[in-house]
Amino acid sequence: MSKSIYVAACVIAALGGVGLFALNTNIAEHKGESKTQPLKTFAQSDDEPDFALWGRNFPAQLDGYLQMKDEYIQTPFGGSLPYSKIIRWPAATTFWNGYAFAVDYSKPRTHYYSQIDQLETKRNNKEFLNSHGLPAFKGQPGACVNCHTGYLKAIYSSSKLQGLFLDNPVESSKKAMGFFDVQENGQMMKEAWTKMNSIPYFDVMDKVKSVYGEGIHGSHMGSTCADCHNPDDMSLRVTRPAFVNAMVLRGYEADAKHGIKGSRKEMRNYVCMQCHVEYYFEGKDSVLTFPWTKWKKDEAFKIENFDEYYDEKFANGEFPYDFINKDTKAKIIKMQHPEAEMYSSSLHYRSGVTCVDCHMPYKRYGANKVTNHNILTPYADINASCKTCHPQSEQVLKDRIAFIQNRHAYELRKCENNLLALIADIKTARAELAKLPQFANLDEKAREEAISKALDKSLYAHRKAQIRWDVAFSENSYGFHSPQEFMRIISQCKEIAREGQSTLANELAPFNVKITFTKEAKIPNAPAKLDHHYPTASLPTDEMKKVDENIKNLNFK
Amino acid sequence: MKKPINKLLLACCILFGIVFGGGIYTFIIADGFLMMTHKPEACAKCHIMTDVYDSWLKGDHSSNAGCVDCHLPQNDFFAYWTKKAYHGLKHGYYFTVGGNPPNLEPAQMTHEDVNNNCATCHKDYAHNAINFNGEKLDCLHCHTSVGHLHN
Repeated sequence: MSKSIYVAACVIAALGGVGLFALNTNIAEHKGESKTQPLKTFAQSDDEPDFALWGRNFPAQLDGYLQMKDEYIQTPFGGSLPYSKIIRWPAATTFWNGYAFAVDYSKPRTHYYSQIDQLETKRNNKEFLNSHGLPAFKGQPGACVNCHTGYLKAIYSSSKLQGLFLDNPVESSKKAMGFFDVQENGQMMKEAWTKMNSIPYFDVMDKVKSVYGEGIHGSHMGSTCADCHNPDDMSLRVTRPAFVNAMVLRGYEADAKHGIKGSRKEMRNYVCMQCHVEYYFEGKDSVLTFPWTKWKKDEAFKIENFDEYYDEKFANGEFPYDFINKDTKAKIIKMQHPEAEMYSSSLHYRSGVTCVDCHMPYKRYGANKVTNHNILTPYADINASCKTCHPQSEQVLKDRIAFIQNRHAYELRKCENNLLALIADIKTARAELAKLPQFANLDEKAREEAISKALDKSLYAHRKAQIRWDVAFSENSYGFHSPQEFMRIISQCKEIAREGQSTLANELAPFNVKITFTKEAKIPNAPAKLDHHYPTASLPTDEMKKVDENIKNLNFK
Repeated sequence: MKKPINKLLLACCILFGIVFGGGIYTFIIADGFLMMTHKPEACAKCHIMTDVYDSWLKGDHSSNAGCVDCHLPQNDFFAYWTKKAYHGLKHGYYFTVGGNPPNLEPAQMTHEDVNNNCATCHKDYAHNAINFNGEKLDCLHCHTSVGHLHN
């Protein structure tokens, strides 16, 4: 009896001992954490931008970066779950009819996938698009590579890749460009960069592949360390030439080492603003250009800055349109994802909050605070992103986001209705006009041109209203980045679309054509689900459908 | 006559000694005695409190009141020590196994304790406000960062 007590005592004491020593080690670890800083022990350079190589010096940051591989966060409107946006909101297929976005458009995944998503989207698939109503599509230009690869800096400046882009410089390499003109060897970089813009997308990626191989460390590598950090001292820098070119035209100053001159706070916006913008490809060399010259320095962006810019480019023929809408034949500008522009008018921006503050909040890593390199929606960690400034509970903060986004969604659906109505009426008007002898006797091309001329002002209304719908729809915050500017934009969209109908009536009057104008438009059927690797292009989830249904019925707080 | 040495008992003793020694050592390197005090350094021992400690140090309250003066109930010996043990063990647990959020938030119980302590120290000129219309006001609703910044 007494023996077993001894044994039991021993076992318990030993277990206690194990626990104690474990605790001891844990304490020692925590103490050690407060003393060490990560040291930079491996050399890193722009010739080898592989995140695995740079990450050896920065394990905490690499950890975060690699988490992006498996992040599929679902939020009411955004997140990183790559559901099909055109299946969820099929009105978009009518607006983009005649353009690749009407065929395949999913939410993008994280930065880890920025190259892979671009390689896989059907918008970059010539054969697919040619057989799906876009016979003239010749493939995406190299200009699209700009924001989808981690090798951009290497392409225009490294000893390994630059040489592959220097033969037969294109004409636009003679133009002044703020980014290159302050660099040593800037002319060579400019020649490589403009060349890359002008050749086909897959040709550029093949060259990257020939030097660095395929796979996630080679040509499939998305946005990574070198895109925002200088290898010498890891200071923030901008590597996208188009951003600096546009900023210099607005009155900002280029910088040889950091791309642009800016305080640390400004750089924490600029690194994101180098890609998250509205852009287009100008001229036959497809030079990536940001339409920012009407957006004055240090001012909040207004949607009219785009009208003014694109009207001017239309008038001088430098960039008339992205595509022609198949139904109305209007010359349409496709808005991309103008986060940089829209955020500039938000209350958060005006209070000095940067992109990084919310999308890469500080995270504790041992005793150190580290910027989280798992770049996500702030929804992913409300505590870290929002509560640093807002002491309210997480639920209260989520409700505030919903308050803004629900209103945005409700009005955006109204805007879609008005724009669909305008498009339907222009389509009817075109058909009616085509029956008149003065048009019917022309050959098809001349007839379409004559009708477009007769309906000139209505087609312009379509273009102008659609720019607004597209900003509100494609910008990646569903209203949150700047609620008031978004409401201004959506209300203008609704107004311009309705005005477009009365303009159409006036334009039809001389021909004695009367049509019944549409009030409630019919939403087109959702396109079929495409064959992608799951979860890309997946169907909207039940939660999303519920959100949309509630918004439709004004059933939200 | 001497009793023969019980080897098992001896082994037990040795083991117990190791465990006890290890325990003392762990207690010392973890600054266990510091935890028994009311010193703010005890709370700042866990470095997740570094920011809070720094901002408290720069604020007005650091010359008059430390962490426990606000965060633990005063004038009640039993409540003071049970809550001190409760918070200390809870914080110690989360610091050891992980899972602390980046921005800390007071629990409802702590919120009330802090509020009571505001009222106790500042009663001379706050007594009107705290019993305004018979309902106690929440000092921290407005004076959010008076002790330290809220993270």
